[in-house]
Amino acid sequence: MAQTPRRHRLRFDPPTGKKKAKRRGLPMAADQLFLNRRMMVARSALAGGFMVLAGRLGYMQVVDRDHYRNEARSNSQHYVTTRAPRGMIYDRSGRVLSENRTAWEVRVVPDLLPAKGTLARRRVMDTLIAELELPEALVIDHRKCPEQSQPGVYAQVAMLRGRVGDEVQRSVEAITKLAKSNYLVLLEERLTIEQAAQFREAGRTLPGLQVMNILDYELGNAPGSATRVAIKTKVPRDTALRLASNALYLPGVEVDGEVLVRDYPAGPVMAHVLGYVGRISPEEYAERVNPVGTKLYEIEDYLGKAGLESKLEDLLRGEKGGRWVVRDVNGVEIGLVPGTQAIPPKPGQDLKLTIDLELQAAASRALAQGIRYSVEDRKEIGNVQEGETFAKSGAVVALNPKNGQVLALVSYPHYDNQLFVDGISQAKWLEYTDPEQGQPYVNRAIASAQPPGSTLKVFHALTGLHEKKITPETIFTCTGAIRVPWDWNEAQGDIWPCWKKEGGHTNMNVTSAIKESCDIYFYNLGVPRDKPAGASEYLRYYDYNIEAKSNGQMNYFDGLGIKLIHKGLTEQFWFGSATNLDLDGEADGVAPNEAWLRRSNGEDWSAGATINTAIGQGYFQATPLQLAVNTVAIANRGTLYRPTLVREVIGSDDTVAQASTQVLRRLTIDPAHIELVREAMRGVVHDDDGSANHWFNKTTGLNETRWPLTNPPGEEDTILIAGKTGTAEVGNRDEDGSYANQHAWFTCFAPYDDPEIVVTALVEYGGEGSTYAVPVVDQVLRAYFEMTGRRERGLVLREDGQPEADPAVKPELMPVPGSTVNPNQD
Amino acid sequence: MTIGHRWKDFDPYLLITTLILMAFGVVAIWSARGLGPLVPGDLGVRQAVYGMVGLTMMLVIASFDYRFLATGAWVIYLAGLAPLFALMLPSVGTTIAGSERWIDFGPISMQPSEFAKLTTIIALAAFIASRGAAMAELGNFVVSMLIVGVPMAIVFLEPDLGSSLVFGAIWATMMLMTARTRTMYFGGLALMAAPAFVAAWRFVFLDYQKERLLVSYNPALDPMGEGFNIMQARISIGSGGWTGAGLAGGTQSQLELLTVRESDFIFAHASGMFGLIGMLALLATYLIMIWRCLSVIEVARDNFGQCLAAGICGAFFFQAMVNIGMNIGLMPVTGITLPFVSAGSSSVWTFLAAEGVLQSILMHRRRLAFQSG
Repeated sequence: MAQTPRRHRLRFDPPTGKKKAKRRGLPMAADQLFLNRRMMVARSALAGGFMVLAGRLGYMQVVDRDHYRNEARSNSQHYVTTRAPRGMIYDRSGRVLSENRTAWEVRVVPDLLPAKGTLARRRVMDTLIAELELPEALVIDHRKCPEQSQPGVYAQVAMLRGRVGDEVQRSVEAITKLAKSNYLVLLEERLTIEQAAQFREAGRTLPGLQVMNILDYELGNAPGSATRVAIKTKVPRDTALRLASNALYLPGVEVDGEVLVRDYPAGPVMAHVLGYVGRISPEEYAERVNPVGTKLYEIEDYLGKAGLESKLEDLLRGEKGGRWVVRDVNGVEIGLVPGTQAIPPKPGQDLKLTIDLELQAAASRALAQGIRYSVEDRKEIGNVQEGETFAKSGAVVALNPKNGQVLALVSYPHYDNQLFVDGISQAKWLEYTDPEQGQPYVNRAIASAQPPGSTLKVFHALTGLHEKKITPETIFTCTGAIRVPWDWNEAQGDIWPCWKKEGGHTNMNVTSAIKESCDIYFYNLGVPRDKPAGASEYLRYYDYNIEAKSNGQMNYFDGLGIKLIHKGLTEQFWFGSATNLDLDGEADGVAPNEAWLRRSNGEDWSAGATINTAIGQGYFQATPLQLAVNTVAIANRGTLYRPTLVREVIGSDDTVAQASTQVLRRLTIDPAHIELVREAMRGVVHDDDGSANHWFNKTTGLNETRWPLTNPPGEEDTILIAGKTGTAEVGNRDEDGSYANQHAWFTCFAPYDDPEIVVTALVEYGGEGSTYAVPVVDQVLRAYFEMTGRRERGLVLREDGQPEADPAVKPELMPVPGSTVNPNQD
Repeated sequence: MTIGHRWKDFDPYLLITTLILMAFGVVAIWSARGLGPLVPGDLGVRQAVYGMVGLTMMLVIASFDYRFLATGAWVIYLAGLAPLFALMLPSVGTTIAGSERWIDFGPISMQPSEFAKLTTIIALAAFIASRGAAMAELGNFVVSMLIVGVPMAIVFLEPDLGSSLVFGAIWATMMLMTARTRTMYFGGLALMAAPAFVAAWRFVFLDYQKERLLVSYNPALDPMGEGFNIMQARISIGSGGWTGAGLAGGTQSQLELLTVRESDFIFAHASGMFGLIGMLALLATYLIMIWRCLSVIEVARDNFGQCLAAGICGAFFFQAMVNIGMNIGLMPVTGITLPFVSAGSSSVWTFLAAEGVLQSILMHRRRLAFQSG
C-alpha cells in the first residue's frame, strides 16, 4: 500500500494542538493558524445554525403553539351539518298539505370536473346526460350578441318560437330582463329532436342563440366554479346508485341520497296560500348570515320563497344539527372529535292551518265553474259590447266570523307550486305572470284590490245610521236617476242613474235600499249638504227620468260627505289598509278622501267622486279578503278580527301552541243599527225583492231560486243567509253612465242567527254580482254545510270525505248558460 | 499494513450520539407507521436491522486505514458515479414521488446519490491532498469543482434538488478547510449554490404563502402534496408544545395528514411526539455529534484525513440543517433525509460508513512506534 507522499506529510503532519505549541513557546505554524481560523468559522456556523433552529422550534412549539393547535383542529376536524326536516303543514282536519320527501340528487362541482376540452370531461358529461336523460335546451348567450342587435335577435327568436303580436315584445322584454342577471337565458327546457335541429339551424344566423344540453346550460350559468350546481333532483334510485358506484370515474359528480324535497300533495288549490320553497339564492344566502352557533343555511339548502312557506320560514325551518368529525387525508370520516357530541337537528315546527282542504277545493271548483259560467252565459245571451272583457280570474274568501280564521282562501287561476320546487321553466313562468292568462301567480284574494261596488253599501248604511245622517225611517225617492246640475247651467248636468233605470225603486228606506241595492238612496246618503268652492248654491239634484229625459223635483243633498264616509270606512271598518294576514303581498286597497286624491293624483275632490264612493266605485278599492273581514264584523255584531291562517303550531316535542284570536277593532256602532242592516242583508237573499233572491229562467219561464244548492226547494230546515251583491263597474264610462265591464261580487254570512261562516266571492270582469257571484257562493255554502253535516254529502262534496283536487265541472251545479234573463240587477 | 489502529482512539461520544440518533429514528419510524407489532415487516424493525448492519459496517471501516481510500480514490469515485449514470438510462430506476432516484434491488431499493456523496468526498479529499499548495492554482480549483459538479449535476437532473445541494455543501466545507484564496472560494461557492438559487426562486418568488392557504383549504388542488405537507409539518410541530403528544404522535400523523413522516418529515412527526424538550435534546445530540466530527479535522494526521473529515462534517451539518429547516418552515422543501434518523437503508448506511471513515481517521492518527520505520 502506497504511503501518502512525504512532502505532504511534512506540511501537515503532525497537527500539533495549540496547547502543545504554546507549551513549547514556539510560534504557531501558518497552517495551524489557518486551520484554527477556519475551524472557528465552521464551529460558529454549526453553533449559529443550531441556535437558529432551536429558536425557531421554540417559537413554534411554545409561543405560537395555540395557533398551530387551532390549525391542527381546523385541518383534521370538520364540522358536518345535519339538515333539519322542514316542518309539515296540515289543513284544519289534519290532511297533509306540505311534506318532505327524501330524494336523490345529482350535483356537479365544476372545479372538480376534468379540465375543459378533455376527453375525460366529455365522458363525464356524456354519462350524466345519458343516465339522467338530460334534454337539449334552447338558450340565448347574450354576451355573444352585440348589444344593439339584441332586441332584433330576441324578437326573431320569439317569432321562431311561435309568438305573435304583443307576445313578441313581451318575450323581448322578458329576455332582456333575464339577461341582466344571467349569463345564459334559458328559453325552452325540453326540445324535441326536430325543434333542436330547427333552432340549431337558426342559431347560425342569430348570434347568441344556442341549442345546448341542459347540463351545459347549468354549468355555463353557474355563479362560480367552486359552487355546487344541482343538476337533477328526484333522480330514480337505481340511476343514482349507478352513478354513485362509479364515482371514481366521475370526478366532480356528487350523488346525495338525503335531499329533502318539498312535496305539495294538495295540488294547485293550495298554491297561493302555501307558496313554495326554492333553493337559496346567493343573495339570500349572503343576507341570512348566521350570527353565531349552527349555520342557518348552506348553499344548497331550500328556503321558503312565497306564501306561508316564506312568511313562516323561521318556524318551518328548524335548526340544523351537526357534529365535529375527524377526517383523514382522504376525507374519510374517522369518527367524532373526542369529547364532542353530535347535536341532533331540530325539526321545523309543524303547522296546522285554519283552512279546510275540502272546503278550499270545493270553493276552488265553484269559482272555476263560476268563471266559466260567466263567460259562456254572457256569450250565449249575446249583446256583447265593444271593449267587453270576459272573466278569467276571481277569488273566494271564507272566514269564521267567530274568530277570523280563514276557512278557504282561493285565487283563480291557480299555479302549480310544485313546479317551483322542482325547477320551473322560463316559459311556464312567463305564462304564470301573463295578464292574458289571468296572471295565475297573483293571489287575487289578497292582492287584487278592486272597487267592491254595492257590497260597500252596507258599510255606508251603518256609517250613516251611526253618524245620524239617516234613521231607519228616512226615505229617499228613486226615479231611476238623478241629474246633478252644473253650476253654470242649471238645466244641464251629470246624470247618475240607479241600476234600475226604468221607473226606479220609488220610496226607499235603508232596509229596502240595501235589499234592492238602490243607488239613488246611497247617492243621497253619500253627498253632503255642502257649498263647493266657487259654487253659488248647495249641492242639489233633480229627480230624473232617463226614458222621458224629464226632470222631477229638486232636492238638496244632506248626506255624509267624504270625510265621514272615510272616517266610517277606516275608523269603524277596516278598509284602506292591509288586514295583516300571514302572507306577503296583501294589497292595502284604497279608502279615498280629499288628502289621498291630492297626494296620489294631484286633483281636487269632487262631488262626483263622493257619489261614486257611495256606491263602492270610482277610487275606492278593496280586496276580497278586506270585504270578508269587514263582513265578519256585521255577522258577529261588532268585532273585526285579524284573519289568521295558522291554527296550531306543533313543536318537534309535540307541544301544541294554539294561535290566538286577534281583534283588530270593535265597532262602536249601536247594535240596533247593526241588527237592522243584518236584517236587510237577510232580505237580500230571502225576501222576494232581494237582489240575490231569485232569477227568471227564460227556458222554464219560472222564477228560480238563486240558492238551489244551499236551500234546495222543498228541503226543510232552511239555512238563513244574509248577504249583499255587488256589481262594480270598471273601465270607461259610457255617455249614458253605463260601463262595458263589471266585477261580480257577493259577500255574505250564514247561518243568520249564529253565523259560522262568512263567504266573499269576486269574479273579475264577471258581470252582475247577483247572476255570476251568487252561484259561486251558493256552492261554497253548500260545501260548508255538507262538511258540517247540515246538508247531505254528495252534491258538492264527495261522499268519502276526500277533497276534490281536480276542479272538474259538475254542470248540474251551475245554471244552464243562456237561460238567464239578464236583469241588470245589482 | 504499515500503520495499526488503536481502539483506544475510537471516539465513543461519536458512537453514543449516533446510537441515540438511530434509536430515536427507529422509535419515530415505528410510531410513524402506527406503532404496529414488532414483526420483521415493520418499517421500524427494518430500520433497526439496517442500523445494526450499518453499525457493523461502520466498525469494519473504522478498523481499516483510511489512507487506503486515497490510493483507490478514482476507482471509488467512478464506482459512485456509475449507478448515477445508470439511473439516467430509461430501463433502470424506480420513480418514487415523481423523482427517479432509486434503484430497485428486490427487497430494498438503493439510492445511489446517497453513496455518491461519500465517494465524492473521498475523491475530492484525495485530489486536494495530492495537490497540496498547488490547490491555489485555478486549474486545480476548477478540477475540484468538476469532481463535485458531475454527480451534483446528475442528481440535480433526477431531479433531487436537496441532494445536489448536499454536494455543494460538501465542496464548500472541504474547500473551506483548504482553499487559500478567498476570491476563488466565494466564486466557487456561488457556482455550487446554483441549485440553491433555483430553490430560492421557488421558495421566495412564487407565492407560497398563498398557495399554502389554498392547499390547506382544499388538498385536492395540490396533487403533489408539497404545499399541503409543509402546512401539515408546521402544524404537527407547532401543536407539539413543550412535551408533545406521546409515542403515538400528534393528530396530523395519526390521521395520516402528514405524509413521508417516516423519512423527509420525520422531524415534524417526532416534534408531535416529543415536543420542544425532545426536539431540543435531538438538536443537542446533533450538535455534540457534529462538534466531535469537527474535532476530527483538527486531529487528523494528514491533509487527506482533514479533507475527508471536513467533507463528512459538511454533509452531516448541511443535511441536518436543511432537513430540520424545511420541517420548521425556514427552508424550502428539498427532500433530503435527516442523518441517522430518517428511514431508508441508503441514507443510514452512507452516514454510518462516513462515520466509520471518521473513526478510522481518529484511530489511525498516531504513528505507532512498533510499526513504523
